[in-house]
Amino acid sequence: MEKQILSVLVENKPGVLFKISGLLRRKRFQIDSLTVGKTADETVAQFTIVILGTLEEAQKTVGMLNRIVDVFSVEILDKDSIVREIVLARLELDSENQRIFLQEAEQKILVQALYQKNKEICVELIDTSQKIEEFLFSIKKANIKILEWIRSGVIAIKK
Amino acid sequence: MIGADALLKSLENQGVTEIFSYPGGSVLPIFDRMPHSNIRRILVRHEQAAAFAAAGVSRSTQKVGVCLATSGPGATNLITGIADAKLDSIPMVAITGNVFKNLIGSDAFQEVDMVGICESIVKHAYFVEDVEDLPRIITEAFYLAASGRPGPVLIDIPKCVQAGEVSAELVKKIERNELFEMHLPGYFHEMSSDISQEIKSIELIKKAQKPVVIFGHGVVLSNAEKELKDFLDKTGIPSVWTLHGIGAYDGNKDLSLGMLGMHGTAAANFAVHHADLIIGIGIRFDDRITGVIKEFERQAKIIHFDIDPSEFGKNVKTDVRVCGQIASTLPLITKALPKNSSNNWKDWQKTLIEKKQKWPIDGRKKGKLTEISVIEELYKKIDQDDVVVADVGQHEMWLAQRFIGKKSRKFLASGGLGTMGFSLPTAMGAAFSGHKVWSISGDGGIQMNIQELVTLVQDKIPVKILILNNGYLGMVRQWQELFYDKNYVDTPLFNPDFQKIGEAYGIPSFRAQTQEETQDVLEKMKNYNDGPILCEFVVEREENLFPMVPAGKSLGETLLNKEESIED
Ligand SMILES: Cc1ncc(C[n+]2csc(CCOP(=O)(O)OP(=O)(O)O)c2C)c(N)n1
Ligand SMILES: [Mg+2]
Repeated sequence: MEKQILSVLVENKPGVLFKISGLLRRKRFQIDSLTVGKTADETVAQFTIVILGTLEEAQKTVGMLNRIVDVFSVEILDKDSIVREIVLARLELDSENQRIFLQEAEQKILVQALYQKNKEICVELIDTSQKIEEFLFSIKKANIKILEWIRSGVIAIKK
Repeated sequence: MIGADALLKSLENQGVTEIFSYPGGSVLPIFDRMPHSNIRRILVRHEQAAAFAAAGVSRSTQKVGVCLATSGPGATNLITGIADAKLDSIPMVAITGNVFKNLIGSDAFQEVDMVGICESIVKHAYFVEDVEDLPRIITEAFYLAASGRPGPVLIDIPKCVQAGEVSAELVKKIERNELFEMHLPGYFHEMSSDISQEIKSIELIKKAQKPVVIFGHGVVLSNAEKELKDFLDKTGIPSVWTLHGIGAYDGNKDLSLGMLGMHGTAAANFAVHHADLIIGIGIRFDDRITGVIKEFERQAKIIHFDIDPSEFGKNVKTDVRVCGQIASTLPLITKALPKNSSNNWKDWQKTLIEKKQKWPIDGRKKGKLTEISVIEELYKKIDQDDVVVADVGQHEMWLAQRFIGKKSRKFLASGGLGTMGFSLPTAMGAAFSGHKVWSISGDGGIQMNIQELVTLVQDKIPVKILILNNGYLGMVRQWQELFYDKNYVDTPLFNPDFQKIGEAYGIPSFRAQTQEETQDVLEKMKNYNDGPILCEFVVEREENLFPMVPAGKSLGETLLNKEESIED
């Protein structure tokens, strides 16, 4: 399914997340990922929302989100925007092969090891959602046991 | 000065003269101070009625009505009225008490999360954290409610804030009625499209052969009746209206074709179905007026004027979107069009005038008293400044089809939510407009807020109450007749004696069963202004409402009666 990325600037105050997610639920938009954080101006917060749907559908959300009194602006990001996600993962490495597999990933700067404790390794991975999916696929294929796999959700910035 | 005083004083500063309210534990500080305020209290007998009455003030005047209820059940009782206001874009301020701040979130006695519950049915909601914020919030709430696309605003005030001491500095400001600076950095309600949209509209109108205007509530809400009249008078474009557009333009003109939609007039539905250009002015193309969307968009280009950009393309595909205040966008177009532009649609005008004559709104039948005949008599009696408040059901549509006024804010109905029980409390609020008010309900709907009869008596509010008793939940019965094989499940009503009920409340009450009695009683009602007056009209039980566009059908398939459609 097609994905659209919305960048929404809002007044940084309580209750805004509830209004935004509530609106998307009411209008039956499917949220693929949603992240919030303060901007450089601490009175302003920024949402990056990935919704599943066509551009036309995403355009409908723009007006609706704008109607929320606390929303400053809503923008649909172009396809060539820079998109990043962070994964923190704890993996269990049971074999030499698996160890080598991960070392290679590290060399390719795909992942960065944060700590290692016996068989357990904690890695961090910052990349596009697609690259992250690919990596997940490959570690599954390598039969590496995933103890924990946590994604930050997408943030994106326009070019 | 405590929070309650600050609240009341701030409301006075906003020009509030009456509040529809009901007391309870969490609003005691406010009620304690109310006698010191100039604001009149109207003690409703159910909070739902308070919300409707507040909106009734807003619907019939240009003021913002206010209602007040206690926390928990008082607050939840407001909800139907708040939702009704939201769906009809009615400015209103609803104030609720809440439990002490330190108890919030603890499932305290009579605690509900009103801000959360109301999120989808208000334009904005406030939870007042600090008494010092109150005057600013009141200022913002009234501004938000009435500006841009209007809507209800909720202010939820914990009891401790109502009772909290106000700083000396703030007291001074409030007493001097100083302006409180608003903090609404995200609120942009005056968005407007660039001029290219107006230019495109002009081109499309010039090219059109069969244009039609649909005007609606937006014209009324933005007081653009004059601009609409200038446009229609100059261009000679035939016009139809939505339920809430009634009265925004003179309905008596030849090219005024009537209300559009599911129970619109045949001529109006015909015109929109066959048009090559549809100009929607202050409307939202909702499903009650479009019929099946694919057919609606089929052959016409669509120009849409509205203040709310999120309405564009929401329901129908539009070719041109003119965003902004209608009073400022429409005149540009009126000006740019040549005087003789109507030459292009002379044939079209002729066709529509013929259709209008061919399909008059169906008249009364001889013999028994019917709802239609009561309504037609009623309309002979009312003056052009009188306000008519319908409830929901068959009678509402019969009333709407026949209301051919020249003024807006004179026909009130629950459009978006379609709430039974709307009429009586809304009429109570509308009576504060200073005009004569007629409340018309079915035998079903009247029971939903009948407790307000005593409010009308106690406060001597002059509402003329008509109960059209057909012994059925008529609108639903009709659908059962047409689409469920006359399987009348729970639509026949066992009714009380409405005349006696009225009398028990101390209201002069009548019953009419014939044409003559009807005329008599209506005359009496018209001339009585000392408080409420009531009459039950016992009418034909199974009268059907037409024209009708059945669900899933197009406007072109409008049924004139059970057998014939406008296509035949
Ligand atoms: C609160 C509410 N409940 C149910 C309905 C569904 N409903 C719509 S019209 C109608 C019948 C109304 O009957 P009555 O008030 O007698 O008016 P009539 O149609 O007979 O004129 C019903 C039940 C509604 N609109 N509102
Ligand atoms: Mg009835």
